Amino acid sequence: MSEKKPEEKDMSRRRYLGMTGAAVAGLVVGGVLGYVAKPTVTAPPITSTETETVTVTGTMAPPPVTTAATPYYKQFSGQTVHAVTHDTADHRAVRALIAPEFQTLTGITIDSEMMGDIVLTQKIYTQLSTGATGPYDSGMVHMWLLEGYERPGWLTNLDPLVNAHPWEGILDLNDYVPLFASWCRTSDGKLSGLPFYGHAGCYMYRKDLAEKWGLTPPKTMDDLLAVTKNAHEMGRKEFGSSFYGISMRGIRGADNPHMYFGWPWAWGGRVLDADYNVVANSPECVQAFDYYGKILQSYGPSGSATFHWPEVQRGIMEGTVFSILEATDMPGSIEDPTASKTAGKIGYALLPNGPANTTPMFSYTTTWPVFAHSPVAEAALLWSEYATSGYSQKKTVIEGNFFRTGLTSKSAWTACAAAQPAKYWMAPVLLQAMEQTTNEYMPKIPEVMEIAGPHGDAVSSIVAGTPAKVALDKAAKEIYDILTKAGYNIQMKYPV
Amino acid sequence: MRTRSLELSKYLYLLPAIAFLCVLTLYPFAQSIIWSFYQYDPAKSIYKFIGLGNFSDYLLGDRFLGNAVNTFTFAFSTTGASFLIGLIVALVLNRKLRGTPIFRVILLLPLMMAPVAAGLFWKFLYNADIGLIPQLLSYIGIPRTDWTANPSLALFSVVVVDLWEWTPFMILLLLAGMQAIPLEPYESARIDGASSWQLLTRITLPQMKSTIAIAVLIRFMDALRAFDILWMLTQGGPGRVSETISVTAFIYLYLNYHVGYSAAIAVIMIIITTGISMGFVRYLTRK
Repeated sequence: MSEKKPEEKDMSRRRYLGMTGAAVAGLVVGGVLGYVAKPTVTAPPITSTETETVTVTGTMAPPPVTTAATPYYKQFSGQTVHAVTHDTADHRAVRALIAPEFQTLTGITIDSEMMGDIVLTQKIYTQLSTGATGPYDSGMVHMWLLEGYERPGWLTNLDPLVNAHPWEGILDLNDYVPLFASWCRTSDGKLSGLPFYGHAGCYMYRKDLAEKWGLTPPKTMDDLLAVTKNAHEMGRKEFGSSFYGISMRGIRGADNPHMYFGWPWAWGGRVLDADYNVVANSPECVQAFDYYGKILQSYGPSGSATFHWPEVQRGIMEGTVFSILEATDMPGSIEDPTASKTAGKIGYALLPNGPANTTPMFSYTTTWPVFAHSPVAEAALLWSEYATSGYSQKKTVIEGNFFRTGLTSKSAWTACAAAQPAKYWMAPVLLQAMEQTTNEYMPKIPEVMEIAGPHGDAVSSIVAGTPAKVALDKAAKEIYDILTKAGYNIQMKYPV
Repeated sequence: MRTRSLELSKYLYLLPAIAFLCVLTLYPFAQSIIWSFYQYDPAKSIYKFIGLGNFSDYLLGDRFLGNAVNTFTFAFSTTGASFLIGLIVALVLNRKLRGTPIFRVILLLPLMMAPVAAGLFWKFLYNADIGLIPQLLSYIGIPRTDWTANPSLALFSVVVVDLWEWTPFMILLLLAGMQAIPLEPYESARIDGASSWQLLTRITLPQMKSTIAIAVLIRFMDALRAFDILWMLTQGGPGRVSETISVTAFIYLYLNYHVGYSAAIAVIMIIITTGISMGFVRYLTRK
C-alpha cells in the first residue's frame, strides 16, 4: 500500500465540523448585515431637479364631502392595499400626488410597487394562476389580457360594488372616454377593471416641413402614400440619407395586436369574423399589409422590421422622420422640449381612410382590475376609483403640472385643455381620434395573445420583404390551428 | 478497516451540496419533465395528461425545423469562430509580449457586461442611421442597413455579438491550457528543427486536447441554449428568421402561458444538448 502524501491526509471530523460551522456563521452574519444595510424602498421624492416636477399651479376643488355619518369610503380605514403598477410618469404622478390625499381621506394605506411591463405582467400572471393570495390586491392589466384573466375567475366583478356604493364626485363611469371604458368590460358585459391610461391612433407629422414643402395631412391612404413619397424625397435632398418619410411599428410577436389587428380595418379586413372564422388572409387583409410593407420598405427606416413604439417615437423626436402613425399619448414626450428636438413642430391629424372608407383601428387601454382573491377588495376598488377618477387626472395635470396625454376621463381632457391650452392645444384632434375608434377589431377571446403571435410574426416578415399573401397564409393557418385546438368550431374562410 | 460511521460520514459531508442540488436543480428539472406530458394551461384550469402530445406537436409542427436550423447554425458558427479566434489570440498572449497583462484585462471587459446590456449596446451599434458598424461599412461602399432587421443578416448579427461577448472566455481557457504545457517538448522539437506550425500541430494542440474539449463543449452547450442576447437584439425576428428553440420555449411559456408545451420544448432541448455533448466528448477524448 503506498503512503499517502501529506496533502492527501483525510480531513478530521473536528476540522470538518469547524469549517462547516464557520461557513454557516458567515452566512448568518452576512445575511444579518445585508438585512440591516438594505436600503428602505420608498417612493422616489419628486423634486424640481427631476423630470417629474411638482409645481402647484392652482388649487383644485377637493372631492365633495359627504354628509353621511360614516361614509362608505371610511369603512375600510386601517386596511392596506398592495397595488402593482407600471413604472411610468403617470403612475409616479398618482403615487406622489393622489395616494397621500387618498390615505388621509379614507385611512387606507396604499403600498404601491412599480416595475417594468413584462415583469409586471409575469408577476401578476404567476400570482393569479397559482391561486396565491398575495402579495398584490390590484394591478395594471393590458386590456387584451382582461378576457383571459376574467374567465377563470381571477378578477372581481366590479359592477355589484360600483352599483351598490357609488362614490359621488369621484367615480363616474360615464365620464370615461367610451373607447377606454369599453375595453374594461369583458365579452359577457362585466366591468372587470377601470381605465387608468389609454390611447387611440393618430397621424403625427412635421408641420414645419409640411408648410415648407406644401404638403397637407393625408385624408386617404392614397394621399398618405403620395405625401410620404414627397416628404421622403424632399427630406433626403435637404437632410441627407438618414431622413425618412414615415415610421411605423414592425416588430414581430404578440406585443402589438392593438395595432396590427386594426390596420386592415381600413380595407374592410379582419383577423376573425363575427363567428371567429379565420379571415386573416382575406384579399382585404393582403392588400392592407401589402400596403403596410411597401410603404415602410420604400420610405421607412431600414430597421422597421424590428421597430416597437420607442423606436418609432424616437425617430420623430430626433427629427429623422417626417411622419408616424402612432398613439395619441405620444405628445406627452414629443412636445417635451427637454427630450425632443421637434417639440412645437409636430402637427396632429386623424388617421387616413382606407378603401373601406374608414380609418385603421388602433387603441390601447391599461385597465386597473381588483384581483378576486384579495382580502381587501373593497378598499382596493376604492383606490382604483380614486386613482382613475377625472378629479385625480385633472389634479395631476393642473396642480402637479404633469403633461399626461394618456388621460381616460373626458372631463379631465376638457379641463386640462382649458387650464393649459399651450400644452393641450392638440386635444380636440386626439379626442376625435378616440371617438372614431371602436374596439370591435380585437377579438375578445382568451386566446387573443396566442393568435397575435403568428400574426405579428407575419407583419414583421412582410415589413422585412416577404410577400403579404405568403406571410398571411402561414399566419392564418397557425391561427386556425390554435383556435381549433382550443375548442373553437371554426373554418378557414380562405384555405391555404 | 473503515468503520461504518466513517462510511456514513462521507455521505453526511455531501448532504448540504446534495440538498442544494435537489431543491434548486433536480426538483425543477423533474417538474418540467412531468409537465411536458401534460396539457397545462393555468388560465383555463387545464391540467390533462396527453403523453407525448406536446412533443409530437412541436417536432412535427411548422416551427421546429426553422428553430433547429437557427439553433444549430448559431451554436456551430459561434463556437467554431470563437475557438479559432480564441486560439489565435491565446497563442499571441502566450508569447509574453509587452503589454500582455493589459491586453488580458481589456479582453475580459465584454465578459463582464450583462448580456441584456450588451444586447442594447449592440442594437445601437447596428442601427442604420446612428450605428457605428453601418457607418464604417459605408466607407468601403457597403450600403447602410440595420443588420438586426435584415432577414439575411439578423442571425449573423447575433453571432457577432455572441462572439464579442464570449470569445474572451475561450481565450482564457485555451491560454490556461497552453501555459500548463511543459517547455521540454518544445525545446526538444526545436533542436530537431521543427517549424512553428509543427510545434502547434504536433505538440500544442495534442497536449491541449482535453482543454479544447472542455472549452468547446462548454461554449457549444451555452450557445445551444442562448436566449438573452437573441431576445434583446431581434426577439427572434424579423418574422422568425432568428428564432431558436429557446426563444420559442420562452414565447410559449411567458407570452402564451402554455406551461406543458413550453416544458416539452425545454426537454427536447435538453435531450439534444445532452446527446450532442456526450457524442462530442467521446469523439474528442477518444484514444
